[in-house]
Amino acid sequence: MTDITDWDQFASEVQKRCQELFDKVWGELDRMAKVLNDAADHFDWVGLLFPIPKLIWDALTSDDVERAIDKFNNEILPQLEQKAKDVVADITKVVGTLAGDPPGLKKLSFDYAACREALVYPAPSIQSEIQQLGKYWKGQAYSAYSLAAGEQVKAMSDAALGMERAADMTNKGAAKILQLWVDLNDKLIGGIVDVAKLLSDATTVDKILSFEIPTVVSAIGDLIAFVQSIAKTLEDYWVGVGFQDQLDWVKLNNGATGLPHNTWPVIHPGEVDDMSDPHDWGVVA
Amino acid sequence: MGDIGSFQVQSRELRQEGQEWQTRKQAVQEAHDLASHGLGKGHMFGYLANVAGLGGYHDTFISAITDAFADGVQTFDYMSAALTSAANAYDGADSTAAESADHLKSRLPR
Repeated sequence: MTDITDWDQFASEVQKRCQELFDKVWGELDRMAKVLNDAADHFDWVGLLFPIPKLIWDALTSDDVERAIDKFNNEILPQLEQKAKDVVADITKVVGTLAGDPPGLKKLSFDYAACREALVYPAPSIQSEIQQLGKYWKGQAYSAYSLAAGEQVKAMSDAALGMERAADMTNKGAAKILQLWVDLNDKLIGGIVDVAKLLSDATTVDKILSFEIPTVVSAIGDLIAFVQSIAKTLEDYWVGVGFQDQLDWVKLNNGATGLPHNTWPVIHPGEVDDMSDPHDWGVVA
Repeated sequence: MGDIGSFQVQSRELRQEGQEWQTRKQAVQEAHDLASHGLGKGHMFGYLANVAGLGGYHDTFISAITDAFADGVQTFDYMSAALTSAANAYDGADSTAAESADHLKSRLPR
């Protein structure tokens, strides 16, 4: 499995695979052309010495070679050339839709998780603080403080919960993108090997004559299908996250999860008056 | 300000509690700073995620929670100041030590 860490590396790897595919296809086509040229040269040379209507060499007739050349020029070359261009165009198009920034998302998820850690730190509970303070403080200001303090500290834990969910979802998104990039790259590597092997089997004129173009075209087509399926998988995943996975982002957005309404709780004006006005302050005897 | 209470005041407890809110304020400030790293970064989810609107959801949430944290910082600053102001007033050592109600309220988010 390849190790891909960011978009630039992924794009570079895919570009490399596409180039490899081109090189393999052109290399094998060149080799086939050479096999046919060699055979044709042989018949030209032997034909000069023995001008008979039908030559046989290596169990082949000159007609066989001509048919193989026709097949190569009219079928194998144009179809493979076209298919290779198609697959690279499709890969380029699909890869463009797979763009994203998993390392950036991972970093953000760590920041969001750190938010939770900052907000939920070891400290006495606010209830114990309020109770302790009640030993020395009384009156309207203390009552107002008791209510406000509880609400304010609850906002910290609510917000921490929201940030924890945001961290989880961001991290999952990053991991999904990275995994699909690796899957795609690995599939390309395997697919190119398959295509190259099919092409390399056509080593002689008779094998070129019996060459199964649809098989090779199909192998290249498999690559296109896989690349498209990767894009579909990622799209389905995001659609799933957006609309099915408990609508988590939506819930975070409307404040159903985490801090209600995503707004910090306002201290009731009456409580503010009580806490701010010295005449409302009192102490326990 | 020494005439606010006719009792012996344990202002130390109020100051200590005020300090707790300063600690909480720092925690919320840290959360604010960390969350703000994600402002406008929804594009990182990529093209397909944004077809499902995910980048927008992310950005809206982070923007709202960052604003909320900023309000939290101000609110906790007020809580701390209110307690410290009460402690100053109870100590009664200095008639200007306690903040006025209006000044205290001005610490709260608008």
